[in-house]
Amino acid sequence: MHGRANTPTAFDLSPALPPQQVIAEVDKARQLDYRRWLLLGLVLLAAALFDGWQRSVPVAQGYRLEESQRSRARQEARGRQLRLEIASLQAPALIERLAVTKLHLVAPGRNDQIVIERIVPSQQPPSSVVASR
Amino acid sequence: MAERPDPCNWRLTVGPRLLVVGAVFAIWTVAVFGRLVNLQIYQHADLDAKAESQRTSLLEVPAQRGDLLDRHGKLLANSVDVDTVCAVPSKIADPGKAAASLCDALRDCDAAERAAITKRLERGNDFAYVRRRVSADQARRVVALNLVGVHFTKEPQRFYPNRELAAHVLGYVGSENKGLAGLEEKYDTKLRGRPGQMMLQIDGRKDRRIFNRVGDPPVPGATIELTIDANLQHIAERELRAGIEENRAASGSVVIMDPATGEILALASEPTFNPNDYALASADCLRNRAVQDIYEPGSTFKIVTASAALEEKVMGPTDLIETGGGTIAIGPKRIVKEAQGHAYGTLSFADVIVKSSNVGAIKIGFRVGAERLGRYVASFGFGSRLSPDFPAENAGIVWQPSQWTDGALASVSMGYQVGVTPLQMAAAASTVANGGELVQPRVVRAVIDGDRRQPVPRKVLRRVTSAATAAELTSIMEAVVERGTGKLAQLTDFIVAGKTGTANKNQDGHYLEGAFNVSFVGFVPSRKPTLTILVVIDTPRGPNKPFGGSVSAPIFQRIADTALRYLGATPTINPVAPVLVTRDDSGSQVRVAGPALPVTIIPAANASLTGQVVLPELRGLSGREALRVLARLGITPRVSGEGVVIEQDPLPGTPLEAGGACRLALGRPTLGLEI
Repeated sequence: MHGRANTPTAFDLSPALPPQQVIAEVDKARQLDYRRWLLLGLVLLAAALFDGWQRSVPVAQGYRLEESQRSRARQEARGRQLRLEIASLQAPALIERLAVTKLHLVAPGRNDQIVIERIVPSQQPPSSVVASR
Repeated sequence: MAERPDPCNWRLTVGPRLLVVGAVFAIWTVAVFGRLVNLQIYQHADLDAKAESQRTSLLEVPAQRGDLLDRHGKLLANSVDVDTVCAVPSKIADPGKAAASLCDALRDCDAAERAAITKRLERGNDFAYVRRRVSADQARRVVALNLVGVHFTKEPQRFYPNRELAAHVLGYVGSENKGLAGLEEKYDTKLRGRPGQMMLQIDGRKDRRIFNRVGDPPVPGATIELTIDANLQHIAERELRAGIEENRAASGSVVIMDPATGEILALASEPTFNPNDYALASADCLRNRAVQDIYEPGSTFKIVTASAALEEKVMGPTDLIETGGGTIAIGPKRIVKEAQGHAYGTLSFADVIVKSSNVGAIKIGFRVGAERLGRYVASFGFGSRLSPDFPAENAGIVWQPSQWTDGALASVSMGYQVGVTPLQMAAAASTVANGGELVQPRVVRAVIDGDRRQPVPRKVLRRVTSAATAAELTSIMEAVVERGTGKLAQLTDFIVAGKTGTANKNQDGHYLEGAFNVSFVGFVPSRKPTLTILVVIDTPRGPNKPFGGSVSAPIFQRIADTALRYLGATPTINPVAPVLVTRDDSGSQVRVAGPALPVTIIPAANASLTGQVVLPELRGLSGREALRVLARLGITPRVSGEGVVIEQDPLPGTPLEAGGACRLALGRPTLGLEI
C-alpha cells in the first residue's frame, strides 16, 4: 500500500488537475455516417430476405402445382374409368340380355311403332309439326 | 541487467496471444477459402452433376392411347391405368412365403405361376414383376398384406367395354401397348401417341416429394371414329350366331355396308373372341373371316357375269337361253349339271339369274368371253385388296383370263375357280346397288387428333358399269327375291334385291362331299338402298337344306328387318300416311294426332347414312363443348360472343350436310333467364 502510494500509475489522476467539464458535443457527420451504414445494412438484409423468400415461393408453389397435377391426373384417370364403366353398361348385348331375361321385354312388332322423319323446327308453326313418310 | 517486462502491462501479454489467435483465424480462413475454391471451382462440375442426379430424375411419361369410337361416338375401346404388382427381391427376407402370400391375395394364381413368382423373388435383384395389370380387388388384397419390398406401378391397359362386339374389326393390344391385330395394329402409330419426358425435381426430405416437373409432356394418341354402328354390329352378330347355331354350321360372316359411301356399318365373324382376353382365344376364333378367308362364291358371282353381258350388250334381259335338260358338256370329259337336278328348258336372261341356272350362266359366260369377263372380274374388285383399313386383308384368287380354258371360263361364269373374300363380294353387290361405281370399303370414318377432326372421304375406285346396267341388274335381283331362289329374304315393308349362292367347299384343291359355302347378298330398299348385306355360312349341317336360299337368306331377312327398323328407313311397300305430331313444350311426351292406336315413336335415327347430320341441341353448352360436338359432326362453327351458347342457327333437329355451317351466339346467362 505504501509502495503503491509512492508509485504513480498511468491511471492515477493528478489531484492538481482540475476536473474537466464534460461537454456533450453532437457529431452530426458521424451520426449521418452511422445512419448510412444502418440503412445499407437494412437494405442488404431486406435484399437477403427477399432473395430467400423469392427462392422459397417457387418451391412452395411447385409443391402445390405438383399436387394439383397429380389430382388432375387422378381425376382424369377416374373419368376414364367411369367412361369405360358407362360404356360397359350401355353394351347392346348387356341391355338386350337384361331386357329379355330380367324385365321380360319383347321387341316391338311392326304395328307397335311409327317412325317419324325428322323435321325442321324453324319451318314449322310453333305449336305443331307435320311429319311425313 | 536487462529490464524485465512489467507484468501489469496487459498490452505485453495480450498482444502475442492476439497474434496467435489472429494467425489461427487467418489460417482457418485461408483453409476454408481454399476448400471453397476447391469445391466451387475445381470440383464444381462433378458436384453439380451429383447434386443434379440426386435432386432430379428423368421420367418417360407414356402417352394415353387413343380411343376407338363407333359412328355415333359410342366407346368401343379405351385405355385405363391399372396397377402392376412389383417387388424389390433384395428386400424380401423369405421369397417362398412372400410368393405364397401374394398368390393367395391374387386368388387366380396356379402352381406354375406361384413357382415362377418364387423364382423371380429368389434372384435377390432390385426389381421383379409379380403380376402385371391386376384388378382393383386384387390390388386391394395385395396392399392389405403390407409386405416389405412389394409395391405398385401404374400401367395402361386396353379395355373393350362391349366385349366381343366388333372384336375382329377392333383387334387387340399386347402387353407393351402395341396393337397386334385389326385396327389397333393398322393405326397403331396414330393411336399410340408420343410419350413425353419429364424432369422431376425432388426434395431432400424423407418422403422425397416432387416439387417441380418440367419437360416435354406426352402427346395423347388420336381417337379413331369408325363407320361401325354398334347397334347394327350387335344385330349382325346376334343373327349370325343364331343362324350358325340353327344350321349347325362351322362358321360364318356378315358384312353390312352403306353402298353409296362404302362405309362398313357392321362386320361380323363367327366364332369370335373377347379382345379383353385375346390370349385365351384360339387362332381359329381370332381370324377375321370377312376379310381374311376366301371362298368360292358360287351363284352370287353370277351378278358379275350378268353385269358383263349387259354392259357389253352381249345379251339383254329378255334374250332367251336354252338350258335344255339341265346339263352342259364342257370339253370331252366334264359335264356341268343344274343344282338339284333341275331342267329349266328355255329361260330368259333374267330368269337364268332368277332361277340361278348354272347351264344358263355358263352359256352367258361363253358369249361374253374370257377376256371381257376377266376384265369385269378385276373391275369389280376381285383379286385385289380393296380396303386400306384391314392389314390382313386377303386379295383373293383370280386367274389371268389369258390362262382360262373353256372349263375355267365355265367355272368362273357360275362362281367357281375364283377365291373371293366376303368383303369383296359385298363391295361388288354395292357396286350394283349404287348405280355402277365401285366404292372403296372402309371402316374408319374420321381421325380426331386433339380438337381437329379429319374425316375420311368417300373414294370411288372406278366406274364398273353404267347406271342403266346396274338398274337392269337390280330389277333382276328383285325378281330373285320375289319369285326366285331368294324368297326367304323377302321383307314385309321393303323390296329386296339379292342373289343366293351355294358352292361346294374346296379344301386343299379337293371338293368336300356334302360341305358347302352358302351365301346371300342383297341390298335394301332396292331402289334407293340404305344397306348392302352379305351373309356367308360355312358348312351348314341342317336342319335346313344347305343352300344359300334356305340358310343364308333367312339370316339376311332377320338382319335387314331389324336394321331397317332401327334406322327408321321409310318402307317401300304400302308406305303409311303422314302422321301429325303436336309438339308439347311443357314435357317430354309427344302427342300424336294420327292413328288412334297407342304407338311408340322412334326418331329416324340415322340421317347421317344419307350424308347428312342432324343438328343437336347446343344451347346451354359451353362454347368449348359446343365446338367439340360440332367438330365431331363435321360442321363448321361460326361463333360470336363468349360464355355459353344462348342461340344457335339452324335450330336443333335441322338436317345439315356434313361440312355445313352452324352459327352460335355465346353469352353469359343473367338471373331469371332460362336457357
